[in-house]
Amino acid sequence: MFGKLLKYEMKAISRTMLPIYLLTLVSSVFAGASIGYSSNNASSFLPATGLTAYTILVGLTFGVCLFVNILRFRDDLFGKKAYSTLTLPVSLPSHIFAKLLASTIWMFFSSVIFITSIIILTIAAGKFNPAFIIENPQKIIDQFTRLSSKDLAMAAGIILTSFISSMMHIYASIAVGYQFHQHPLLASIIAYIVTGVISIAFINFSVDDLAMFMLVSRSIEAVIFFGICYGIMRFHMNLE
Amino acid sequence: MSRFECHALTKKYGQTTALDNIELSLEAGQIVGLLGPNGSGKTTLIKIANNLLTVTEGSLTIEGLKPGKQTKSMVAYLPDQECLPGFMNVNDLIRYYKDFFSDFNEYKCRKMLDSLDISHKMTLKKMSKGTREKVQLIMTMSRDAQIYLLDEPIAGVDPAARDYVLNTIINNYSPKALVIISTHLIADVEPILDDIVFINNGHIVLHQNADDLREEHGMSVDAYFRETFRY
Repeated sequence: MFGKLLKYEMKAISRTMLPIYLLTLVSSVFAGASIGYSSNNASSFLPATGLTAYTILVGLTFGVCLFVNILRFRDDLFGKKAYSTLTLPVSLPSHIFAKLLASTIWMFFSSVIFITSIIILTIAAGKFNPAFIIENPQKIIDQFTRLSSKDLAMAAGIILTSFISSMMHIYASIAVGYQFHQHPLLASIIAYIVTGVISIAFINFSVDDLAMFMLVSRSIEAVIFFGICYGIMRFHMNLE
Repeated sequence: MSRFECHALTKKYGQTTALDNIELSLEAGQIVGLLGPNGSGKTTLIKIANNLLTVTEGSLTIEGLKPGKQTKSMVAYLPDQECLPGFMNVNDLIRYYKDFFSDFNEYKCRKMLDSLDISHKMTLKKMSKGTREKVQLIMTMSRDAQIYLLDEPIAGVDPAARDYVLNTIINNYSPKALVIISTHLIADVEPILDDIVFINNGHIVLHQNADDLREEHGMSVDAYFRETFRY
């Protein structure tokens, strides 16, 4: 059932995200082409416009991705749609994890689109030099091999746990906020701030290894926020 | 073990008691009218059965199980509001129901949709409110569920459509199932009810066979309801 939930979650969000990805990629072509054109014609209007549009779309790619995922969590589990979602024969943790995994996957896709759009922009601007990559592969590999595989794994772990912890923090705040029948959105924002301050105050232990501290503290936060979210939905669910 | 059982069931919203010490036992193979004025506790009871509300005290069980993942596969629920995703068309919805409910009967569903000339490719948000409500009812009744919990199925539809809704219910529920219809529009549902449960201010004030009630009081269920709940 988890796979099916995830499938419908991905499908629902794709309706919003895929057009934005397409627009971002198209705008990177125009932005790059306008830069290339201006370097030959000394015009600054075109590249400024192209780059502004591209920057806005990149911002939208991440902003909308986050917004849509949060909105879907709220609407599907605490709004009218919960009458349909929460009566599916699926466990509560599956609902929460499906939303969490979908948001992680979409944020990863957004990052890939961002990197791809930069490459497209560089190529379109005529600044991309494939010979550099062909002739100097060792230099590129060296950049990465300076970091050990452990360091790379640690960096990936910190990014992932930080994202998961941040999403669970938002989910838990929504679960707390929707316990208040009046102004649930405001209550969610207050809950977000209060729980954020509490987590900073309590998850504060001293270690020499900053990376390890980040990894462990964010993991603990994610587990605690999941516990709050699950606990409220399991024991205090009062769908209006 | 009854199919649907409440024991000392109490639900409070802060200081307000929505359900007070409810004792109720319902068996399979009947259509039960859960009847009461607005705010009497009908929807609260149905929401608890669907695990959308938590109990304050006491218990509610379906086939001996507390509401949860297992009971949700046995219960077909029609809420008192629209809840299906507007971006889906009917074909999407059928796939969605087939994916999650093993008792979903696609043939029955398409037959009902065709009888109303509802396009399978039109998205829900493009349909009229009445059509969306009918689609939601058809999706619910297309399941071969053990319990149907129908919350105010005729409240939002015009009198002409009420007959369609009631016919859909009686023609499509499994005879071995328990159907609970919550409503305050007694006259419309009375002809199809086997059992009557009157609820008021969170209390069960009457639970009786519909024919016995009519015989005992010499009046229709609707007339008896009006007399009982006259302000």
